[in-house]
Amino acid sequence: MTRPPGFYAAGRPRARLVWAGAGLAGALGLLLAWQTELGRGILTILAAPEFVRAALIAATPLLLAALGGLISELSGVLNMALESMMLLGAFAAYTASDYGHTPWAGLAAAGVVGLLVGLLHAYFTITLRANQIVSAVALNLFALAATALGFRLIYTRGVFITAPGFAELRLPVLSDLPYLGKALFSHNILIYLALLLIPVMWFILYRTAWGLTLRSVGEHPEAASTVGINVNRVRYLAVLLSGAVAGMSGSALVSATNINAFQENLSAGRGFIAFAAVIFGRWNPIGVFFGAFLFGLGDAFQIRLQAYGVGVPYQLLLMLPYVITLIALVVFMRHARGPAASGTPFAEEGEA
Amino acid sequence: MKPSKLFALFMIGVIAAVALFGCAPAATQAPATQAPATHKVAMITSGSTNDMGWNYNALQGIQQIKDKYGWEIAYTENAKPADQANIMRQYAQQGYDLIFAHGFEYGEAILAVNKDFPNTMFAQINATTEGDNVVGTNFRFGELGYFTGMAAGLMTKNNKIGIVAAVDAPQVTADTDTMKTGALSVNPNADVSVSFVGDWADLVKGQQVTQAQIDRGVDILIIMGNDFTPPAIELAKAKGIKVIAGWTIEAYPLAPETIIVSAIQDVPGVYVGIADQLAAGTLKGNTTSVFGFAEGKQYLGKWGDTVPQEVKDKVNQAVQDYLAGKLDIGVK
Amino acid sequence: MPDSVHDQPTARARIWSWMKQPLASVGLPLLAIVAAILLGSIMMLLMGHDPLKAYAALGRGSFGNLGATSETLKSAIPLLLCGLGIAFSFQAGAFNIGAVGQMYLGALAAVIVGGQFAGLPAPLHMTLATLAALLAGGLWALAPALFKVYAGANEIISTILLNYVGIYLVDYMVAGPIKAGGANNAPISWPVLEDVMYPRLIPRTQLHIGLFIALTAMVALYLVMRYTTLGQRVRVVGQNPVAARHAGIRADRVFLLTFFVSGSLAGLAGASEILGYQVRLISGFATTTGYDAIAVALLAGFQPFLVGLAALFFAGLQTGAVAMEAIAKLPSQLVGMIRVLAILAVLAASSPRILALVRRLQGEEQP
Repeated sequence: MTRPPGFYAAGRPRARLVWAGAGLAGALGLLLAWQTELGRGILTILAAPEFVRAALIAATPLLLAALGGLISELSGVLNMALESMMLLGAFAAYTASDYGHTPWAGLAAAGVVGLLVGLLHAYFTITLRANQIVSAVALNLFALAATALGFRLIYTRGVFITAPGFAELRLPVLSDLPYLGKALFSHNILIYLALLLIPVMWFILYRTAWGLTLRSVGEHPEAASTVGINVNRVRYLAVLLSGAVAGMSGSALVSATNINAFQENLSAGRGFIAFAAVIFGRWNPIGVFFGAFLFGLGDAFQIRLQAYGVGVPYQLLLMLPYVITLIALVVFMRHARGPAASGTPFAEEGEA
Repeated sequence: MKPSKLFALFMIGVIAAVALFGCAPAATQAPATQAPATHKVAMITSGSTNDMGWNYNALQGIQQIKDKYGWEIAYTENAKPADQANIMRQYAQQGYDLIFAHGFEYGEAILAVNKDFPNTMFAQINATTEGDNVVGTNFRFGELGYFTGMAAGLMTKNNKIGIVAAVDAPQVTADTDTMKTGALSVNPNADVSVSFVGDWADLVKGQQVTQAQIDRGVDILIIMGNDFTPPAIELAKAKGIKVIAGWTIEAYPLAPETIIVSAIQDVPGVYVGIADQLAAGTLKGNTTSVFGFAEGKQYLGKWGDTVPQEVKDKVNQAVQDYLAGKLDIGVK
Repeated sequence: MPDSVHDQPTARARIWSWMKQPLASVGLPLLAIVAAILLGSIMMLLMGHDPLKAYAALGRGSFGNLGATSETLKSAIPLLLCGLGIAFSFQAGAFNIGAVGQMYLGALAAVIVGGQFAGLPAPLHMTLATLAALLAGGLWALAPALFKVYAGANEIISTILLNYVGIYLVDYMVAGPIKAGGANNAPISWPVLEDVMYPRLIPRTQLHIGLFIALTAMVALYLVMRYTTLGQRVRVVGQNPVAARHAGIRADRVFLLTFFVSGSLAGLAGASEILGYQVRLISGFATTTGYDAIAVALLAGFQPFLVGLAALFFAGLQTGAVAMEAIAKLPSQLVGMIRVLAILAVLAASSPRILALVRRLQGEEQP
């Protein structure tokens, strides 16, 4: 990840050709598709507002986790522990909304728990200078075990309890718009908050002094250190913040998806997809959104394809979101480059 | 000393210490020499026992055995394929003489250990088995599907029925197939579609698939999963859609107004049935028992509050006809 | 930081300096382990379980007797193979997170070749099945490497994504094309032919000759990394790609090669699971091994022999966990917690800061 751009040869001028070809093929495909029953089915799926709605719902937990991961990685600390933050956050969100009788308690608890996991990750990787991936792997194992144990201790087996969830918030006027109203403007409030976080984070990262400091620490820690920035303090703060945001993705997993319930290994690897979305989004909040949303689209599409009765084995359909993301990655992502110092611990002058 | 060497030394130390500690109290277990009146029962399952479904039922099974006979019970949940044989060996070595393997995925692991423990009986659920000390049990797959399909066909107003199933194992698809024939037998216009979640436990995926069926415009959902079933019922309740739930729990208490009926495979009953045979001394290897409506191990649960009497009557009559041999539902 | 090294050499100080070397190198890591054990004991007591019984079961189930030890060795085989592959690729700066998928593909190839072509001589058939797995894993790993070299696609993402594709591919294959059918008709693959299965090393256990394959791979990787120019190139590319380019090393070739080797080893791990003892392929046959192996490789600092030790440690925890559940009757969730505490303790004890502290306590005058 520390390789300079353009290190591997690639045919850059071909990009325009690829775009043109894809456009042409797409138009032709649409025309042809309408002639077949399957094609009409697919186009019906794509045209329904519920499709985008479902994709957005599926993308929200990924988006929050990935935004969390972004903060940490910009400061130079790889955060593959997103999975643990999401899972522990989800457990905290479920338990706290259940006992606190409001989903807001769940959201707050998820943030706090995420923050604590962030603290652990920061302690391991910054203070103890343990390998950032090992720390993450250990934390992920820890989260899996701790939530399973906690769930077993707090809740009785064979009794199902629904925690209170966020209500659907229909935005006035906007929610009455023909297509967009249903697709975008009648969601669970947490989804708006997650979307709102994108511009907020963009502003903080690119328009404030702290954002600049953060990025410089991730890019050139030595240089940042010589101008008097306490590199490790900035990183600590970044990882803590990262944990808080990623923890809230657990709340989204529990309530934005409308399950309002918990189960062992609820996150089931979604934190890794979020981790991939950070890189996919080229370490940029807007790109991260598109990474998460693309995955959500693929997911919603394959599920609908099945419900509409396409004669393809569902196991192959389940691959779709991953394959679509992979294709997008190969076709459109040329030499994305992360923060230069990502993955390497920073030792102050005179330290061992 | 180099860090790597230090680490090596350290790891060797840890492993040696553990080995020593482990050897010290090596209490030699006497293999199964207890009085014949009592037995020890163990159960191994691949999922978590708080799944509100299949694995929870297995736990209930051995607990009911304990309640009935007072035998010692033990279980391992979340067992990985790599550990299956080791787990069963551990139980057999401790003198557990009835070991339940909860699912079709334990076939090879049983074959790997059963010959070493001729006095232990291995009972595999949902599998046809071979071996002098191995018994298998199966449900008569397809029965529940037919009658629930009938209920769905009678209850639907817009003729759109959606099935949310976990995976396309034949144990599942036998029922989804007869659901279609059952629904069509009473409602030739029924449009039944099946979606697979691809997982028994993933709540989020289960909810996404349920939502997709709802978006398709169904007014009856048949949900057959483990963990994801209760949240899916909640979702249907919020959208005013009627639900048939299966195949393990009685779902009526979760949503009396929403549930049409629960389809129930009485897994605990099967467990107790095998224990009964063991207690009576009639449990023989190389057998596979099949349980269904006739044996009372598959049945329809409590009818929902909103189901009209004529629907209940019609379905119940069909069950009676089937049991009397007057109705062919395409299940052998 | 304690700085008592340059104190006046009083008798007490001399005894201290004589004592503190073993104290530091053994004491600190021991402290971490003791802390983990204590914490685990407290949890067990709170949940009404006897810690002594539980830890005795852990010891007995992992290395307590021949049967347990061979079970642990069996569990260490896939961890070691995947761990070696990961160590090799990470050393070249090629972040292969895809051991899970590569292992699945290896297992798939092994069961396809091993379950068909009856009539081939057994040793040849066994070799072919193993090689097929090796190739399948290697090619599955080569894909993301090619995406990286020719399209600049980040290998971490593509390997993570391909893990899922591999898992669903196996789900599809065992439910359809390679399903056994028969009385059970369950989504389980056909069995590997009996004489294609790896021979057992010890009767009444599942330990198989895959152990030798893994150990051979370990030694081979050590020799390659230590004594060949290839090993040198891999290290240079990993540590300083710019310098590597100046030295005329084709970094992209090294990248492709390490990925292929890494995937092949994971493919071998898949083969050893199926041909070694699982006989048939089922959905989810090894969901966590490929991820655990990352921890194994990193914990070992990419040194082949240490990967072996770390794999043994992880495997011991795995089989010990089985015994804690089956013998000491701990719930699997609590056992999971105790396992993680042990891993965290080892992680903390082997972190650079702790190791540096240990070195300093040993005294700078020691070489």
